[in-house]
Amino acid sequence: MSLLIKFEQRVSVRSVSRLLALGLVALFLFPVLAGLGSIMLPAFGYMPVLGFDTFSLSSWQMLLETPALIEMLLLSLWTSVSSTLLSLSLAFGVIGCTWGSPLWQKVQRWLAPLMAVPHVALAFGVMFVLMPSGLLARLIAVFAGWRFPPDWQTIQDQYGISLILILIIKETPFLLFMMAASVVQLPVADTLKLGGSLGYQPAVIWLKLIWPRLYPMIRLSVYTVLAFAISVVDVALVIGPANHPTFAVQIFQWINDPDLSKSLLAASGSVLLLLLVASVIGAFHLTEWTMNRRLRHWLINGHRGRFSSLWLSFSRKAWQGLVMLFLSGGAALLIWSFVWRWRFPSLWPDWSLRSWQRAWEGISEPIVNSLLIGVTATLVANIISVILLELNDLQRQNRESAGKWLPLLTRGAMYIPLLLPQMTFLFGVQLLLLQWGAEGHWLTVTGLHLLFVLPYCFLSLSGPWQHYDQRHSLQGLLLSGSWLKTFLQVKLGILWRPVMASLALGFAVSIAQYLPTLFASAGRVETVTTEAVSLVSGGNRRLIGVYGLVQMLLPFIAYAMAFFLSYWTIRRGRFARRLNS
Amino acid sequence: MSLILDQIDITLNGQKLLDNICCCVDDGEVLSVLGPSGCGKSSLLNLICGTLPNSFGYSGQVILDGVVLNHLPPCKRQVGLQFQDHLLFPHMTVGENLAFALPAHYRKSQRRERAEQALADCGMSGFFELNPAMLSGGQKARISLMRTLLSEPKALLLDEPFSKLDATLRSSFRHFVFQQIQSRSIPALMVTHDEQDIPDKGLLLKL
Repeated sequence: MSLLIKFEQRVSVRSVSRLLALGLVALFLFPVLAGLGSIMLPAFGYMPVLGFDTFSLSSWQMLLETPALIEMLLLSLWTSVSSTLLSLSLAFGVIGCTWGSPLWQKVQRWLAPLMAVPHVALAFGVMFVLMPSGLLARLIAVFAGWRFPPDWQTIQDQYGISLILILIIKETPFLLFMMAASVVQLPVADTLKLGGSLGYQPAVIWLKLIWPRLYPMIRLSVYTVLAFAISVVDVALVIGPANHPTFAVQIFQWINDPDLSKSLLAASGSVLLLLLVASVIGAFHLTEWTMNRRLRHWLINGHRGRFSSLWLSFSRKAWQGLVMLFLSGGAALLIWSFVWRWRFPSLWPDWSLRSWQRAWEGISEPIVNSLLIGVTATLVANIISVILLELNDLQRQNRESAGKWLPLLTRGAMYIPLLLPQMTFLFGVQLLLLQWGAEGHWLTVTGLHLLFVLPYCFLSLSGPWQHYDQRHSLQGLLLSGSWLKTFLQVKLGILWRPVMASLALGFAVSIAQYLPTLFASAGRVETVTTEAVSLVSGGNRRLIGVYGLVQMLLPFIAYAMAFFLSYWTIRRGRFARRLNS
Repeated sequence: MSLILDQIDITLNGQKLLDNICCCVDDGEVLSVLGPSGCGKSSLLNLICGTLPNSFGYSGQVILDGVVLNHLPPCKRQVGLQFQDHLLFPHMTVGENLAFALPAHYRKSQRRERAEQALADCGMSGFFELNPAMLSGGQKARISLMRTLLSEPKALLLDEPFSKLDATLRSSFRHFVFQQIQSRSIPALMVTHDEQDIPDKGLLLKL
């Protein structure tokens, strides 16, 4: 009888946990799918709020008649595909030339700060370096004897080169991070030894033996980079082409147009953007499939490689250049925030605290809002991530079929908001919020931030959770007899560092959000990022310097706190253990 | 085509792992290196392969076929390596694994032919298109060895090649390995910690 009761208890715990996991995933996906659904009606002319209550294709006709539509679409395509491919090659080159060396440790140390910096702050920093009167031009002017800034379009250029550069600087560390997390699952050291003993040069070993196994592990991350690059707005507003902007920026301008009929055009444009993302990802996938079939002979043609070292040293140099540009961008923000007057070609400005004094009154509220939203979204995201990971573990331990499909489903769901163009479903969510009268509250903004913070927290924690040795928990359970005690003291104790890192990452992701804040806040909740982007039109470099620097510093503080907190806790733990012994 | 280890010392953090190792392995001969874990067996293999980590120090010379290998990169040493894990590449078929090792001068049709021949040599004809995951432990071991030999190495290094095989497979694969070494007439160095693996004729280095 008692066996039967135990069996029933176990079955009910399993089904409840499965339902809970599915419920959380459904809750997470609801706004995304609702947003997508609600954009479809206005895309076909139906928007009763604005008085459009009949279905029509007129907005599509208007869209197709938009001047320079093809140019804008091509620009989006060019900037996204080239930046993704270059980031991918660079990340692969960097891992290939540094893996196993002390430099690889250094590269990994740089990943967190590089990833933590919000895109917009980075764009401002690089803009201050590359613009015709920027740091680089001033340095060249010393040798070239320039008295005026050169007449070069180094930022907001019509080909989107500066936009591509920013995307590369931002996405390479992310791809490297994903590669670093995946490569540990491959026998890289032995493969390199074996390949070397068969006469292959290291770069060819990476290309022919490691890459075909590594790429499938990071494929979804590559697609998220691609989707992000096609639909990015904030960075493109700062540094992208102004005349014939990228298509996402054009949609953004339609949304903000005082002429409300442009909303229909924006809705159709958002659907077109979604189709563009889907087709580009589809084309990528098709290319991979074709290459996989066509390159079989290349894989086994026996060529051991000739220019291997050239590629590796190029990657190394490119990485160093990228880090240099990142650092000089940060330095440029710092300098401009304290500038009073800085005439070209002078290398040394006149300093002043005036910009900080002027900005301080306006920036305190955005900082408080950013902190409130960031901390709340991060805490909630991490709690949900841990619950989902624990529920997945529970299913896996029971060796049921759900143990296989549930983690896959959860992981897949997490990628959905990252794979869809933000503009498309967020515009839909905004329309829904308008109907429900729920916009303009910090909780609504936090909810939308959660859509992007949660996936990053979940993905960053899922690796450590998977590698956690369950025997520790079993041992803890046998010793303490309490599941909660075991979870808090043993499992969380062991995984404390990744949890802290995930908290910092979540906060950094929240700070960087532009569109979610804008669409959910109705202009009533200002964050550092929305304020920083709005300064672009004013062109006040000193204020941009202040806001960019604050935006850059907030995630750094979070990372520093996470680092010290995990270091301190571990030290405290060691100290306590020593006392106990 | 002999493999000569000339006054080899290997140190780690100032401590000597190997001290003054001198020996000469002739063609078709097997030098068995026997010793407990941590005595420096694998470090010796890594030194010969050119993959000894920088944290290790060494002196002495490794000479193969009259050429000093010390400063050559691993890919130029022409030293074949056989792991205990076999390491068949999972993204290639069994035949592609073999063809991968062939030197570049073989044309497409020749590559297929040579790989098919190697499969026949190890009693696995018809396995060309098979996924390596479908092979048994013994089959994997044979394919892995044939792959190493197809790269036409001038010496063969075996890193505990039989340790992951069960007793029956172990003895047949051992016989197969020593037969291949003799028929191809190349020097071989085998690291093991099981005395049963040592061939009847051959050199023995106890560490």
